[in-house]
Amino acid sequence: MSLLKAQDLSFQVKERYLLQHVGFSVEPGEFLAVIGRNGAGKTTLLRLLTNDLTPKTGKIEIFGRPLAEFAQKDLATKRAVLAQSTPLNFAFEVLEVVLLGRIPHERTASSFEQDLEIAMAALAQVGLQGFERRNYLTLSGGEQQRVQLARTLCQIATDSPERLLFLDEPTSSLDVSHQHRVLETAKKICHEGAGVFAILHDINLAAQYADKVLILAGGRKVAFGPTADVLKADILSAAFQHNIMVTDHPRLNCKLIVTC
Amino acid sequence: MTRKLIAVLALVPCLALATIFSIGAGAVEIEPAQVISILRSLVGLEGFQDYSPQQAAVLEAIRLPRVLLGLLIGAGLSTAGAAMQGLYRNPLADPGLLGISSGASVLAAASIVLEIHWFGIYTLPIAAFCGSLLAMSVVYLLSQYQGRTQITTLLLAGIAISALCGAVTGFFTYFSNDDQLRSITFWQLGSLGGATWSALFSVAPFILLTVMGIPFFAKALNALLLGESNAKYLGIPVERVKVVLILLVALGVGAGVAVAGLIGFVGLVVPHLVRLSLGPDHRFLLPASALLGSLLLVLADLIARTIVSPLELPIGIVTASVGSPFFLFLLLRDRKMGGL
Repeated sequence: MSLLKAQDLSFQVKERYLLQHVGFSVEPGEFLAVIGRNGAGKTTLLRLLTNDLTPKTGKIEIFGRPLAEFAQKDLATKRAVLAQSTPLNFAFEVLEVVLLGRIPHERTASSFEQDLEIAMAALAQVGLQGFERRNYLTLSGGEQQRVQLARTLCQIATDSPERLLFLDEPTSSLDVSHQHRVLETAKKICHEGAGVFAILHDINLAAQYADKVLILAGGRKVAFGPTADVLKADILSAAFQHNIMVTDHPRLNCKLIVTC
Repeated sequence: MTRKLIAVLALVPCLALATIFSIGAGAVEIEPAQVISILRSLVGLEGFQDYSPQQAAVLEAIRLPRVLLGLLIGAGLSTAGAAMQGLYRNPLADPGLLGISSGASVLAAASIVLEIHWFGIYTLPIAAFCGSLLAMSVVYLLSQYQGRTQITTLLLAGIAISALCGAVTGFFTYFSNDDQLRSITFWQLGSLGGATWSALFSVAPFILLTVMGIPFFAKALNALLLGESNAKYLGIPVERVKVVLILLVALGVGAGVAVAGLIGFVGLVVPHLVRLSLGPDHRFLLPASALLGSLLLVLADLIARTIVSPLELPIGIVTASVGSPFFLFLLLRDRKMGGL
């Protein structure tokens, strides 16, 4: 069963199509990267998948059931979304922010002690143990983003294999080290069987971390498939309308994308 | 967690002491022990301290309703303020932003200047209540777009409607005679002087609904601090929460304004004070704000009616002049810790 499956998705505002006939799937343990130019429809796609918008045509299945069938509350226990930035300007302690991720679980059996344990584990996962009592507002942008990542991990911390993490350009404003820490953490939960859907700006990050890549251009699917098959010079050059070369990474077993 | 709970609970005895002291203070002095004895006799229990019938009469007819009204309004304004700040994700928000105060001012001023007496002595509070709900409804309707409440538009519409109401109030003020001008000004500075049992009973249901209803949304408000879409991803029914919160704030503050005029500063500052010591978690912030708001308003009213006795200062003067320097002091002291 696919964790996430979209078929023939289209969305239009008045006469203009923002997305046309897009389809793809995310299997358990898979990291899907979505790339494309600004305005290619990446964000529209994410908003359809998170039920912020309703598609004109097409089907979205999440955990094997139609998205529309899910109650927001149930979905929130196994699907989390990390945005590019989170507008939090109140002086929460770091641990309190992470614990906000447990809100959807309040009616289940989980007790405060369990929640605390899960939150601490999530903080450790993003490499921020020892930050529990720190004031969120005093952290750097990269640290704040990792706290938010911990919150989303905390939100979908269940024993069930049905777990999905949506990342919306999670690393755009971070330095290189923070970028990799965030994506390494996401990759780790893939190894535990969760699915990750990540909109990425940096094609090289997609090349390093993604199992599959979906390329959008002008609201249409240009390519979808295993990373190495899709990240080709001609496909990328056409999709980004820019000269792009693809070579082998000198150290890692992946492609290296060079713009020129 | 435990520390915060203790801090909230510690406010309860403080509030009780302030209440008893405040009931006792005034032209007719009543000792704390006498206050307790009279209160016990009111509910049919044995007192343990002698008191005069005059003391009992003053307490029952004047002091008690006034102090209770102060408790209620302080709690209502502060809880509403905390909820608004959470909803707007802005620590500078206060209930006045919804147009509640300015709307109330317009019809209050109108009823004074046009000498309307349709409901006897209740004309002014009824006019004020209607004005606040009316302004509030216009602001709310303006913020609706495609079935969603746009918080930014709500804020801007609130400011615009407030300015418009200010103009109309100014118009009435301009055409008022000296006595009417005095009434308008005093009403706008706020006072608990109009406290009677009937006034108390008529606003208590609204304000209690606000004070007790809003804390049910503590977790939703916590989630909303992350932004509306994140709150939605956490499973919060954001649209419903917004509508219910706005309604609760409007009713509670509208009722408070109706009987006590515009008491500034409390709704803005009390939640701040609580956040400085307890942090922004609404599960503690809301009840603590209610208790601290009650405490501060009762003390402010005590000052207002004793400092220039036998005259009375409008309570708004006291809340602003005592509160703002203290608030600034806290602000500067905590500036290094990352602000509010």
